[in-house]
Amino acid sequence: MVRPDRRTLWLVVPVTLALLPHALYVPLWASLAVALALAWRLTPLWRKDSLAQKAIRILLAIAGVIATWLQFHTLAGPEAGISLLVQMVALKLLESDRRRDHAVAVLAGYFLVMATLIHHQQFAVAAWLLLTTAALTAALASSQASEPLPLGTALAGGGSLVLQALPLAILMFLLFPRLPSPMAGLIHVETGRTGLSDSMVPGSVSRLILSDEVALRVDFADPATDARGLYWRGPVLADFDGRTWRRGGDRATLPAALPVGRQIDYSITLEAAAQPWLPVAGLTRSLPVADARLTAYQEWRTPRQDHERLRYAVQSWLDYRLEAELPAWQRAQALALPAGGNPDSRALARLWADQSATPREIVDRALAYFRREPFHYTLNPPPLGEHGVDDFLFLTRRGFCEHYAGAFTVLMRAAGVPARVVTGYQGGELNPVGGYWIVRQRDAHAWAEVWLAGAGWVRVDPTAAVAPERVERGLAEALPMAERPLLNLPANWLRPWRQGWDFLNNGWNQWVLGYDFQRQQRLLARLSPSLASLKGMLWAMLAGIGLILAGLALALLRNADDRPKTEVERLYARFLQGLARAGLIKGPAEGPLDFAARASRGRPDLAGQIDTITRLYLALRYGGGAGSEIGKLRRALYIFRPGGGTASKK
Amino acid sequence: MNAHIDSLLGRINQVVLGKERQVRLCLACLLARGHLLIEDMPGVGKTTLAHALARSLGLDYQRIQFTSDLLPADILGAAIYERDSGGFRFHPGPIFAQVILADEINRASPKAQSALLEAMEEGQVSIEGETRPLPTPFFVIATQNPTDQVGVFPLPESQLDRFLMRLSLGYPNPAAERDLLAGQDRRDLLAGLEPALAPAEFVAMQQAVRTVRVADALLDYLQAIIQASRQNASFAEGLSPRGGLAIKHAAQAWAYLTGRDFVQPEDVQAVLPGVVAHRLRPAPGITAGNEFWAARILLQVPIP
Amino acid sequence: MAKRRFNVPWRQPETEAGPITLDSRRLYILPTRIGLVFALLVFGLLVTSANYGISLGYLFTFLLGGIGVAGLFHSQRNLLGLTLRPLAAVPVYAGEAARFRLRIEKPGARPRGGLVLNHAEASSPQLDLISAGSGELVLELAQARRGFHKPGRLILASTWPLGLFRCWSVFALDWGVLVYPRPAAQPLPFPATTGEGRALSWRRPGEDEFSALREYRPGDSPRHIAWKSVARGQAPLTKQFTGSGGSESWLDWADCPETDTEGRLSRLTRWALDGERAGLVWGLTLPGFRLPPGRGERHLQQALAALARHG
Repeated sequence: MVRPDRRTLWLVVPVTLALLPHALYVPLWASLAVALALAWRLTPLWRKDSLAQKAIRILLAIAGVIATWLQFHTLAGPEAGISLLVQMVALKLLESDRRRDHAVAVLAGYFLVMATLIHHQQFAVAAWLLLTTAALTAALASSQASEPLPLGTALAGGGSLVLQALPLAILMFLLFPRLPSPMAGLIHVETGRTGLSDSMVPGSVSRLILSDEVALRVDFADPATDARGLYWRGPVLADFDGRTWRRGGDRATLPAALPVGRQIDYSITLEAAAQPWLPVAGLTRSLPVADARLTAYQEWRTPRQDHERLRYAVQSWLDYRLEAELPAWQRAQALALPAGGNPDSRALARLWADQSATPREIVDRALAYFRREPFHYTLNPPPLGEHGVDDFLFLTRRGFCEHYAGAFTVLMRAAGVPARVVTGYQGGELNPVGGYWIVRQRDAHAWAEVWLAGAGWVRVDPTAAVAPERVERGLAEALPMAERPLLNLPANWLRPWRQGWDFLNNGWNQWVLGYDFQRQQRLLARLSPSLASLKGMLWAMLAGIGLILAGLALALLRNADDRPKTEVERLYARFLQGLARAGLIKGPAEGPLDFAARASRGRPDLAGQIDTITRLYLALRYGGGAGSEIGKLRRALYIFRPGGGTASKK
Repeated sequence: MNAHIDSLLGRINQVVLGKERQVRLCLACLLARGHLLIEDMPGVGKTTLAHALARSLGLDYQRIQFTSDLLPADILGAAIYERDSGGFRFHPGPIFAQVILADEINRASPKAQSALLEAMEEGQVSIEGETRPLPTPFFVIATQNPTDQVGVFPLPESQLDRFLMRLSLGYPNPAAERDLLAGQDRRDLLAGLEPALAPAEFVAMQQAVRTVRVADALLDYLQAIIQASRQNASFAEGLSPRGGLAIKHAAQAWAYLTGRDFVQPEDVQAVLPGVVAHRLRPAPGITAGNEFWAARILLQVPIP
Repeated sequence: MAKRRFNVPWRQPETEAGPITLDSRRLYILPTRIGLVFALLVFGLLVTSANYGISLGYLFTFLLGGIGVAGLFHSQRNLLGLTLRPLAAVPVYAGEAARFRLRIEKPGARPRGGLVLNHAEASSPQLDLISAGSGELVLELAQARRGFHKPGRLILASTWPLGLFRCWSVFALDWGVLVYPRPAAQPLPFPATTGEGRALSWRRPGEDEFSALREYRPGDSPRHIAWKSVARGQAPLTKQFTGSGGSESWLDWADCPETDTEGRLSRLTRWALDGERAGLVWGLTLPGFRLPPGRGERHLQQALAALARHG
């Protein structure tokens, strides 16, 4: 087997690097065809000039177009287009060996990198992007050489070009005017994202628990705030059919809410999700998200059924009075129970209602019941039968937050206290690197809300009665030891690394991916108000580009001779520079002594110094002068100031 | 040593007027153990200079006037048949002296020229299969007329580089000319010229010249010059390694004459035209009137 | 102070003696076709980024733009400071290609590459100076006519390092090749020897064939002494020999059977080459030129140069 020559590798490897992520998106047959084509190119079977192979290539191209059309029923559109592009790039690599083909393949590789960014923009992708860009650039450079360059030389060349391009890239990134909103909107990308949902059956929240994904990050204005005491309110589930909790119907009326006590400020970065909910802690009046709206259940949501990563600043009151007057439809909804289900539970609730003077007492009795009886907090609850709540309350007594929240709400409704289930997140982890809190899907939680006359809706968390650790210290502490590995929690020694990595990701999300029109405006306005206008940006851009170009020119074009110089040579060069400023320039072939004589004629006032410096220089450079002489030369140059007078012209 | 040099130069300059630089170059050439070729029009004082050098150095010298009928044996000597003894006896030629004044060397036939040139190269002569060493020090100071004169045989180019330097004198400047016209006959002055040095002193000076320091930086400069000579369209052939050594030795001698113990770029530039002009072959198709023009190109080489 | 005229690309450059050291004033730069495609690509990426609001896409677009700009500087830096030394071109016969060799030296250790010497008629192969400090660009130019020919306007160009920009320098060097006339195709007998003639004085009668005895002179080689006569007690005599080298021919313009100038020059060239190959002694006579008889390579070169430059 002949090894493919270096020139071929230099083309195929970088382009493969650019093709690689597309394997996730293009149809499987396309990926396989591309892989086979690349393998063919690297084997000795490949012939540049074989007519038969040319025919095969043409057939392959036609087949690719037809297959793409069959798959997508179009050749336009991002998906079909990228799929086609991927195939054509592979065919281009098969085509020929000429310099122009190399260049075209590399340019196509650049475009493939861009196409990847439509799907992925994570921090890790940036590393891949830089590597691939450097490799493609090195491939472009390599195609210019008559002999393939050594790997180190080519990579250093590509890498240094990327590094030298970075200042300009960053400047333009910061200053290039952004559009207030994308022209075409985002390409809709299917992902199986987890998140809060509109319904709850026993087990639906605990599925989320196993997910390590970040749900949201919170940055508090007051760094002392502990997010673990906060409940991030998601969808409110008020409809119960005996097994499943669902959201109630939407009404146009908004709930009356009165803030109480002190306000807190924070900002939330919410990860992209396939659901509309915008969790907040406590009561907030407005959310700075385009078209965000409030529902009748005091939920915040986006109009669409999904959203990209969002960032919003929130001012909220942790204490509030929600719906001191309960509308009739709400009361009816919050008391409704399916007929005939869970008879034992209903009986228990009625017993409590009879024994209690106020609804609040009923609530207390229920919580006391959960505390007193041997309930267990577990991720692996046993299956429940037809009367789920009965089975849970009296038989299994093992469950997760949705069991407790659901059972509690059923008990309340049976006792005549309006109640509903609220889902959301509770808990979180402080990232000490960035000083913000991370709330993961694992922190998903369900709790209950009861309506008490005079107080409005009051949050009750029955899970806290069973496993107070869940609320105070997080999920992992609340679970039995045997179940903790299920959570996929990182080992302790890994934790700082994970936090560092999350910090990088968060910064990346906020400053690079989230750098849109608003953020640009805010950043520039903070630097200088005049910058935030289009004109200001353009001027700043021009000035910055000018500065960077001047810097590049200075660094790259100044000195063609990069031979290392000794100190004696450097000192003498300084002497010559000084005299050159005074109008006396030494010719390249002029001997130092001859020049000294000429310079002394031009500047008789400096003759003594010129003579001393030249003598010292000659003795050091050519005479093998002692080390102490160099000190004299240094001192002589230190006091040498030819700038004052002007050369007497002849 | 400086006093010796000054008195040496002073004595020669009394006879050869207004040619201080050429005299100094000649002396540098001899101190660098090289042979000297003086080329110029007849009557500008070539022979006088050669004589003055030879006499003032205190070495024993012989003069050979080259003519068209000069035979090798007239230079080297010959085994001559002696009728009395009935055998051959070797009669050494004039070449067995420390300084040879080869006057108008290009008037002789190539055979006679090469007899001298071979002796210069090898420091010994082979006559009838027998090798005889030449004395030390051994110098040839040759003079020749410009090659475009009639009735001359140019020295073979391949052998020209056996001379360390080729110099020309040029017409004297007006002041020197006037002194010449008004002054004594040069021949009388020559006769009265006393040696300024003892032979051992001259040998010591020659040895001192070789110890003059040549720094790396200067070797860089020399290499740049050699490279430039080899890579210039004006020359068919550049300097040979021997040519490079010649520049170095001559520059050392020049530095020594200035009383310095190291060579600096100006020393190289001072000796360069004399050392390289006869070693470079202009490229075919390039019409070079004066070969010193070639040396001037090398003076343009930047000093590293 | 004389104002230096710049070698602008559209003007016939001034002839220089060389070596030339390329400074930034001598260098011109423009994008190549691939460079224009690259610019178009960057613009397309910008539109894509804006269209879909891809933030990282902006960064990538500007990164590529920055690479292009850095490539522009690198392209100029690639030629900056190079020293070009024309090397002497070996004379050729008309109809052959002359090889013009341009020596390129780089001042530092940084790799330089993609160097090509362009001429209106031909281009040299590419030269890359990666680790080497110097190299040669060889331009082969067909020479149809005799004479001294200069290549005239030359361009040193490179699309290094990325192929996006072409940086070049225009110059004309005082540089040429001597083109000898094309030797005539049909062989003709070498012109007859013109008898004993005036032998070169130093060329002593040859030593091949014994011809006579003469009186001994000091300096004669003992091997040539007629020892027999010495043994007879007579004065020593020296043997003399004659060889074929004594005679010489003249290649004369007037003797050529051809009537046109170029034909005659071709004929004389052929004769000169034949004569040199046969080891003959010959001289050359042209209108207004006379080369005394001789032989050897230098003699031949002088004759051929005269033939090349005739008229």
